[in-house]
Amino acid sequence: MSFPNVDFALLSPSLIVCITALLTMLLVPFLGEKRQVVVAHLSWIGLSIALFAVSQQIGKNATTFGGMFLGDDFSQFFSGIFIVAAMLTIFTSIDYLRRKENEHGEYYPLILFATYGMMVMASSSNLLVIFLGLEIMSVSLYVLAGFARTELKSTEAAIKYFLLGAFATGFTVFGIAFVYGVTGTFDVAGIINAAFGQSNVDTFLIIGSALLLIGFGFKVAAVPFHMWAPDAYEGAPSPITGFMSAGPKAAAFAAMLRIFSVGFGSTVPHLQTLFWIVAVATMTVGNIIALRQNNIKRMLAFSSIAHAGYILIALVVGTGEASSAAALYLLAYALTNLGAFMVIALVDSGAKHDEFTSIDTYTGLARKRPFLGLALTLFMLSLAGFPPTAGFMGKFVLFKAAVSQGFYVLIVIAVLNSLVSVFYYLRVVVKMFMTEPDGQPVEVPAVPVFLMVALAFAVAAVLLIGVYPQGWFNFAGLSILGAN
Amino acid sequence: MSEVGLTSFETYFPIFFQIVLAIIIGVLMFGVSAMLGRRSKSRVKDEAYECGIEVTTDTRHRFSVKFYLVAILFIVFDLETVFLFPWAVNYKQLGLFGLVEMVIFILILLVGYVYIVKKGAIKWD
Repeated sequence: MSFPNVDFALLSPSLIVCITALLTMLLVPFLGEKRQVVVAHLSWIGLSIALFAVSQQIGKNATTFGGMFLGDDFSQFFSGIFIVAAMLTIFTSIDYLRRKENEHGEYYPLILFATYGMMVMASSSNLLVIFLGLEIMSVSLYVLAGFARTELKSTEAAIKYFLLGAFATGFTVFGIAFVYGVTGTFDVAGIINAAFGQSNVDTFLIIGSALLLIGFGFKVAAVPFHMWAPDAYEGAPSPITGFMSAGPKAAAFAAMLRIFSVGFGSTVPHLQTLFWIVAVATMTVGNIIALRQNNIKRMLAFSSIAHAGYILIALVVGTGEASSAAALYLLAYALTNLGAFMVIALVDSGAKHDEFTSIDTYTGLARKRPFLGLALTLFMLSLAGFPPTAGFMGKFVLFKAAVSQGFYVLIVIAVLNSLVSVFYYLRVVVKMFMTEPDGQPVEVPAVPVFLMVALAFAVAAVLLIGVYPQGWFNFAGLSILGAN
Repeated sequence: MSEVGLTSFETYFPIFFQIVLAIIIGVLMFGVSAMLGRRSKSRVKDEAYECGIEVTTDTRHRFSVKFYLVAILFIVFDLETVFLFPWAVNYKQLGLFGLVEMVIFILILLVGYVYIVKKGAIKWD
């Protein structure tokens, strides 16, 4: 057998991430306990090379590995989101782990492996390859969620995330099996060909699609598959919570958009109605429960559920415009949430063991640390969807895509939900600016250099997307291979 | 689905029928014995059955986590061996391509091996 013709340039971003992960993991036991931070620096250097490689592949829109790996702009855009999310998480983690006395180098290769899994997920329309990426990502995240081994809550988060995640994986595989059984192929394009033109759709294609919806619904924490999210988000180390809400969510949505929106979703009856119900339930339940949370990580977990509900609108609408809008929304949401979790991780790292994650911890924060307060305010406004922030732009293009297809009821529900969400986001702002701390205020550590860089980047990006969205939207209005 | 033109639901109907039958039989047997059977309870009857020998200690012992580590490492390298067999059988057809693929595969596992040895996961004490 001769060597197959593999386009290594197209693979280069994910290959670089994977090789960096392997090499840094190999390095971990050779470094002394005091020098584990070297791994962090090597990891972000590797990621920045991968980001450069991504920028070199934009516009190529080619496939390799016999069509199993798609290097279209859609996958480059999402790879960009994942890599930036991983870098920002690493920058946040360096000082966090040191303060929590949990400096184990394995943390960084695990982030890289998770990033690699996400990139694989977003770069294929083959159900098996998507599943492979999903597992690489999930297994790394289970470990990361329980990385604070001595904390009971972190262990609880890992166990719950793992058990429910593994359960959801079963649904995904079962769904893939049904779809394969009906159409005889794993490739989304092949599935469309097999499903189109049939006078009556096979029952098992509907069952398979529904099972896939359940599996991915778990990963994006859509109601009623959201139960794991609050506990997993609360218990995981703060930088990882930010990473979990940005990267894996974007990856799962990228795969869902490829499978359902661009793929065979329109050929399956009732699927649109199903998405409509799940979207409305997700945004409503997420927002209403978030109103009553007193732990900021838990509050943002429910907020993350609500945002998944908004993004599910793109799957209801199912047009190319909606897919691009969802991509932009995910970018905006990832940057905003990562930014918010930078501040949360900094405040949290003030305590070695007990976590400073109650919203009361933020009382009067803006008086003592005006810049931190302003940054967190900006992120909260962006999450709530105020102009001129990224969050507003994301919501605007997404809702516009839905309105242009006539989904008025859905958008009215979504806008009402956004209004509800303003209350709990602004509650944090009110605590920071307008409340006097009673008793000893919490000591927030000084901002370390790397966190400063990451925070400045997040603030700039959130404002830039909010003020000048055209460039980003043109980039997000990208060509998606897979239906060819 | 098949040449007789059955939809896939119809082909699965016998299985569905069998499930219904199994449920009916199960419910019937338990129901009848619950209704007609006599029950007598005593402490001796509630004890765990250990081949007639009296129970001395709790069954749930704590094991060293090292057993688990060794078991899971065994699975990893066991699977590696399993993957080597099909390659060995088709070695001639796969040629240089197969060799390169296998070397990459083993290199990746080697990274893991070096990692666990260096971490002392295989050391028993």
